[in-house]
Amino acid sequence: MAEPARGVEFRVCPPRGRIELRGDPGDGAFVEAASNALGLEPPPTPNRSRSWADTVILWLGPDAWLIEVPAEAEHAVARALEESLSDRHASIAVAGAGSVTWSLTGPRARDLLAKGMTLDLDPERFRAGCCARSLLAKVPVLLHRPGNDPLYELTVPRSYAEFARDWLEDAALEYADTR
Amino acid sequence: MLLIPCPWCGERDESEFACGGEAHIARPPDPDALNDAEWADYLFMRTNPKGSQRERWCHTHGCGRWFNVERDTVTHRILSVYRMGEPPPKDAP
Ligand SMILES: [Zn+2]
Repeated sequence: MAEPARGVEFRVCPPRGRIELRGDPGDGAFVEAASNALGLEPPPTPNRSRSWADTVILWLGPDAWLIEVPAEAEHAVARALEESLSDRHASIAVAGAGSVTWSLTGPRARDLLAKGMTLDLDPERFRAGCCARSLLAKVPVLLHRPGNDPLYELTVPRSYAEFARDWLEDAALEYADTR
Repeated sequence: MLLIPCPWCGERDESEFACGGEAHIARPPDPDALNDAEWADYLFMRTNPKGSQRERWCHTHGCGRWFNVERDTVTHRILSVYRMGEPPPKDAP
């Protein structure tokens, strides 16, 4: 008989650098300057992410993105953006310490999230490369599906992290020893 | 619970949104020229129709954007959605 596996595994990710970038995606000079600093163009498509090497850019709104980089690179990337965008109408905010990210994986990860979210998590619709801000158990969250492992990354404001962890642990109890 | 089609994010649950009341109420260009009754009318009085109404909604817990929703106040059916600055898709009958 196969060894019992947990239906869902979740753990806190190591600290990462985060920068909130705002600007007009219709302004070609803004897009070019941001892309030059990041080595990657901010995705124009709603609720999509884009990644290359150590950098992930998540769409937050029609003029807002979250840039994820290694923690130690956070300030250097923010400075590169500030220099590149110095003559553009743009906003750059370092936000790495403001939130906590969990990775979730396993065959019941989607069921776990669905208990507390109204977001359509159908794997055909919320595919790899999708991201969305929404609510989990009334907590404002950012959900990202980077690929298949981990299935999901859940980012929560730090002030809600303890509540979110308690909620996840409680909601995952029934999946403890199932496949 | 309403399923509201955000112009950017698509259909999302009502709990992600905040309603900002009746849309297309222009701020008087010269408030000092108004008497108290006219100013109170601008601030407080609303059409409150039974039927189709145009409202402002904000996708607070999603993309954070304000947009317009045309909703039937009797059936809650959403008749149309359009971005700020865009004309309503059709004029009210
Ligand atoms: Zn939206």
